[in-house]
Amino acid sequence: MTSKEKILNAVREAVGKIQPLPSAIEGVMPEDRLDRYKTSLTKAGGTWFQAHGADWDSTIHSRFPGAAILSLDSRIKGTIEANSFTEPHALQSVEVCVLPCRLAVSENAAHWVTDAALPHRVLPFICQHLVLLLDVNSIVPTMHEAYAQIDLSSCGFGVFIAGPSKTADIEQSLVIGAHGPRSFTVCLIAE
Amino acid sequence: MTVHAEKAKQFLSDRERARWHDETLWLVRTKRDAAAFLVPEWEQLRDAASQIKRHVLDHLDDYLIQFEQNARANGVEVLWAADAAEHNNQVAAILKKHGVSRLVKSKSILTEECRLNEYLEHQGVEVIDTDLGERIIQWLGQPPSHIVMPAIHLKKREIGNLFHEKLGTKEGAEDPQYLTEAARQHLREKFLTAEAALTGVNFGIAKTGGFVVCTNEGNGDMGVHLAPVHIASMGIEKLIPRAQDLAVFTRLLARSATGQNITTYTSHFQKPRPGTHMYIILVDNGRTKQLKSPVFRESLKCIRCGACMNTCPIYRRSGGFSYGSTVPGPIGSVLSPNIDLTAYSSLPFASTLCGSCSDVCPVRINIHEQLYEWRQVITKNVRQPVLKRMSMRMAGFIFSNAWMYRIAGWKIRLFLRWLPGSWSRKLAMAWGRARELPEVPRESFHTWYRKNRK
Repeated sequence: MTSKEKILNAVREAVGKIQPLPSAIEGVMPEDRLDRYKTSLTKAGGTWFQAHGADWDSTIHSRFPGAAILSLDSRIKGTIEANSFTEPHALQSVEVCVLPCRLAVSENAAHWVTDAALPHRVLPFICQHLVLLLDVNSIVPTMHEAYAQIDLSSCGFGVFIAGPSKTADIEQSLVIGAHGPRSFTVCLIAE
Repeated sequence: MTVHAEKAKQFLSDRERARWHDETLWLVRTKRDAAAFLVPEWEQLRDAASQIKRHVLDHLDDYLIQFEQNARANGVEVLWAADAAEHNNQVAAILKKHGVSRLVKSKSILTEECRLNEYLEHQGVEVIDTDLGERIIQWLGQPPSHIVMPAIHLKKREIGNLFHEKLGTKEGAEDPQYLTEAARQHLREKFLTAEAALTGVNFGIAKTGGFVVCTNEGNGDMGVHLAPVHIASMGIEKLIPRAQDLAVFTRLLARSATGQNITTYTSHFQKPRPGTHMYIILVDNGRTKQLKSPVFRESLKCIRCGACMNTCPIYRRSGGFSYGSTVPGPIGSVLSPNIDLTAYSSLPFASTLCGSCSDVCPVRINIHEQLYEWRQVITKNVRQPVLKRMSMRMAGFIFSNAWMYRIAGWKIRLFLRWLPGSWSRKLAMAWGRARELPEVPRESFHTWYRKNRK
C-alpha cells in the first residue's frame, strides 16, 4: 500500500461527512475606505503621496535621486530597461522598482501583484525600494471583496504586499527592511 | 516534580529575566487585542474559520484528492508522507535528484517536527534557515521557543555577541537595525546562490491546487523565486476548500499572531516558474490519529498563530523550552500527547485551565477543555507520581462520605490554626513557595449555615 492509500484510508475511517460549510461572510468597513487605507498603510510602515499626473514621475525621481529605477508602469520613466534582465538574479542591481497596482485592500493596506505584470517573480522582493501606482478607486474594503475580484487560476503566482519587509525577531524591536525592500511607497491616483 | 515543572523552575530561577519574558509576550497579546477590536465582525470570523476547518476535516479525503489533482494539473508534483522519516527521505531524494547541496529554508514548524535539518545535514546538505529568528537559533543550536517568534527568549546583547562571532559585526553592538542589516547582507548571498528552497504551507486550497505562504521578512519569496527547485512541506490539515475562504483566514492570522492587520507578504503559489520544479509533500505524522478522536480532532483546526502562547500565564512564565515539544504552550500541550503520551504527559497539567487560550484562538479550539480531556487519558494510561495518586485517592474517599468530609475539615482547620505559618507553607510544598495560605476559618460553612440561615 502506498503512503497515499495509507493516509486516505486512515482519513476515511475518521470522517463523518456531516459538518457543513458556513455561509459567506460580508466584510464590515465602518469608516471611510481611503482614510482607513492610509491608516493601515502607515501602520504597516509604508508611505503614500498624492500628486497630479504630471508630478508622479518627478516626485518619484526626487525621492530616489540617481537610483537605478526599473519601471513597469508606462507613466513613470525608469533609468534601466526591463528586458536587460534575462536572469532573475541580475535584478539584485535594481534599487527602485515601480509597479502598477490594480487592487488594494483598505483594512490592511494589502496590494495585489501577480507574475503577469513581472519579468521575474522575484522583482518586488529583491529591489531595495518598492513603489506602486494605485488608483484610489481600486481600493476595496476587506479581503472578502479582494478575493472576489481575484482569479487565482489565471496566474502562476500572486502576492499581497502590505508594506516594506520587516522583522521584530531581535528583542521585539521593529526593524523595517529585512530581506525584502527597505521601503514601500504608494503613489495614490485620484483623477 | 514533573518534567515541565522541573524546567519551569530553572526558567524562573532568573526572576528578572522571567519577568521580562512574561511582559514581552503579554505585550504581543495586547497588540492582538488592539487589532482584533478594530474588526467589528471579529467573532463572526472566528465562527466561520472554525466551521470551515471543521468541514474540511470532516471531508478531508475528498479535499486531499481534489487538491492533489488540481496541483498536478498546475505542473506541481505531489508526494505523500505517512510519517516524519518518510518526509525527510522524500526531501533528501528530491535534493539528490537535482544535485542540491545547499538549501535555503523559510519557517516551517512541520519540518521542526520532522527534525529535517538534522537529517539533511547528515546527508551532507547545507541547510540555511532564512527567517532571522530561525537563523539565530540555528547558529545557537537551539530549537525555536515560540512558533512565530523563535528567538523571543533571547536578548539583543546575546544576539549581538552571536553576530560578532558569526558575521564579524562590531563587538558589543546590539542595535537591532545594525544587526538586521548584517543578516540581510549575509542571507542575500545565500538566496542568490541557493540550489533549492523549502517553505512551509500556511494554507492549501483544494479547489485551485495552489498554496499560500505568509511571511513578514520576504525570506520565503527570496528563496523560492531565485532557486530552480521549490519544495513545500504541508501538514494534511492545512487545507481549505476555496480561494474565497482565504479571506477569513488572512483576516484572522496576523492579527492573532502579532497584532498586524496582515503579514507583509501573503504569497499565492499556483504553478512553478517556467523551467523550474515545484513539489508539495503532504505529511500525516500522527494527524490521522488525532483526526480519529472525536474530542481531540478539534486541535487540527490550528493555524499556528501562537496567540494561545502569548496569552498563557504558564507559557509566559516558563518559556517554550519548558515544554520540550516542537510546539509548546497550550496548543502544543494538546498536540504533543498524541505523538507520545508518556514523554509529554506533564504538559496538559502545566495549566490552571484558565481558558485564556480558548478566548484568543482564532479558530475556536476549546484548548482548555482539551487539556482537561487529555488529563483523563493520561491518568488512566501513565503512572502518576505516588503522592498525587495517594492524595487523589484519599480525597476521593473523603469526599464520597459527608461525615468523613466534615470530620476531616474540622481536623484540618484545627491543625492549621495550631501550626506555625512557615510550617504550613512547607506542608503546602509547591503551592506554599510563593503564596501565603488563606486565614483558617473558625467554623465550616455547614456549621455557619445551620446557625445563621436555617
